[in-house]
Amino acid sequence: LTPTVEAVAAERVADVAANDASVTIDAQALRAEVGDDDIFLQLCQLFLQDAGSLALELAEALAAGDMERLYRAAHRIKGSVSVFHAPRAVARFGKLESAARAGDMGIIEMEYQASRRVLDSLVNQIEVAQGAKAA
Amino acid sequence: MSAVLKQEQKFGNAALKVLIVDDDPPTRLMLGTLASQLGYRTVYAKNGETAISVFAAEQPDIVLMDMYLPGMQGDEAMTELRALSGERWVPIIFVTIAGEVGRHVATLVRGADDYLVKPVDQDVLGAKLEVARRTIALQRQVEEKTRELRRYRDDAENEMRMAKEVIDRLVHADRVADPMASHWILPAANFSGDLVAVARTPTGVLHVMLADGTGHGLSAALSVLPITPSFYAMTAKGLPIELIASTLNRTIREQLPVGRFVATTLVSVNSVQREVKVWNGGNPPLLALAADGTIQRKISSRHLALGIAPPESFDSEFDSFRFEAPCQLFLYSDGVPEGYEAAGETSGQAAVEALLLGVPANTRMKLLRSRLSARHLEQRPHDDVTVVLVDCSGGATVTATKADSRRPSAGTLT
Repeated sequence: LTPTVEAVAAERVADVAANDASVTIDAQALRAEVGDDDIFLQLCQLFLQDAGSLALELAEALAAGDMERLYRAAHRIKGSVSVFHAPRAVARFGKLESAARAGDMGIIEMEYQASRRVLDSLVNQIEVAQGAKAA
Repeated sequence: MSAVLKQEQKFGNAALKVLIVDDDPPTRLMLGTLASQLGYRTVYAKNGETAISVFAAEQPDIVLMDMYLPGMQGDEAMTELRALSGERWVPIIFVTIAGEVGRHVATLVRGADDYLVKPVDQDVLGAKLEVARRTIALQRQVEEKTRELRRYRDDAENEMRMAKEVIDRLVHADRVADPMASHWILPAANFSGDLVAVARTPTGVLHVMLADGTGHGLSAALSVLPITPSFYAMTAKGLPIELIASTLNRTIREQLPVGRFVATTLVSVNSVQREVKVWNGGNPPLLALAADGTIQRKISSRHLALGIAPPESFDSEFDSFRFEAPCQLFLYSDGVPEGYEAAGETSGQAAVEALLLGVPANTRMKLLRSRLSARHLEQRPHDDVTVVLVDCSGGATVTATKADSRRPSAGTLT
């Protein structure tokens, strides 16, 4: 049984890694949607301002084993990243939400790690987009 | 031209104000930006508690609210906002994440007007806000119509109050007071189409009139108006009821529109001669009751209601009888037996006749009021209900006379 579980887990980790790599924002679509550089930059700024505290909230909730708090933080980030035309990121935090609701720590740990990587990636991409527009 | 101005021109009124409730700052800014671009004014709240205070202060027209808020949840906040808005309908649109179908349904079930899916598409947002705007416009039309109806109702009530006061004065409602006669009227509408008039001739003969105009309400009340002055004037001159009946018939034909009639019973009680005269045109029978409530005499209508017969063929002949023992005359309008029939009685007339059996004379009016009121506690009567009791004091026997030569049934009563 153990080899089977390990095989499934390895497959899932590979799947998560593959998804992480393809998480991107669509800055151009967002800029076109809001029609204004200032608002685009404000959106980036607001996200970046909160990203650190939201990452911390995720970590603390996980450490405390507080599934409701973890769910709320994941939900909040999911809503926030949906603004940036990043459907895969939305899906990623949706999985973390579901894992928090299910309460399976094995899955939660894995989803948490994946979500953190996605969050870091988003922060990087939004910083780049912000810098490009500001320049 | 600004988007707000465009919207004002499009809608013909001030741009609608949208309250955006979301704990996520980028989402708030995004929704606000899209709504502003569509010409809506925006105000913001970051949670349910703040939404309530902003709602109270800003009186927004539409609410866009995240379902899942920290602290007070979206549906709890919605309940509070609904209570705050009172009669003013404010559409509440919940904003949720795509794929949360169960949540979308739940928001609608809990009373939301619609939902939006994040990431919010501006065209969809515009369409949903437009639907909300149409709902608001419709709601405001309904509110305006309701206000108009309320004004109309208030005006109508004021006019009716005044009309009632005038009618009461015209029919001398305050003059219907004689120690020998008592009456009670339960109107089917604001106005009674039944009228009771009581007066004495210069020689002390008591005249009582029970008139029931066609239908009920104001038109019926107006129908009985013209006959009152004549009744009082002719009684004051000591003229007999047969002449009064004939005059009233002519008055109604002259003054009321075609098709308006008045069922009328005229009674004359001469205490000195111990004689009762009755002219009954279209009303239920007059009952003469003995002390124990048994019916000594029943005088049914033998004439058409006033206003039907042409003057040249009007029949003014009356019934009469003498009384020597005390008796009581019981007059009532057709609303009394009809009320019993409406309640399932086979014969309303029989029910009325059984009503006072065994009831002493001095408690009959109290009993009538109590029983007839109880019948109509839950709903007003279909027709005006009127009862009149007239005391006839006299000797040991009641003797009938034959003033009406065509009435062979007249005889001595004991």
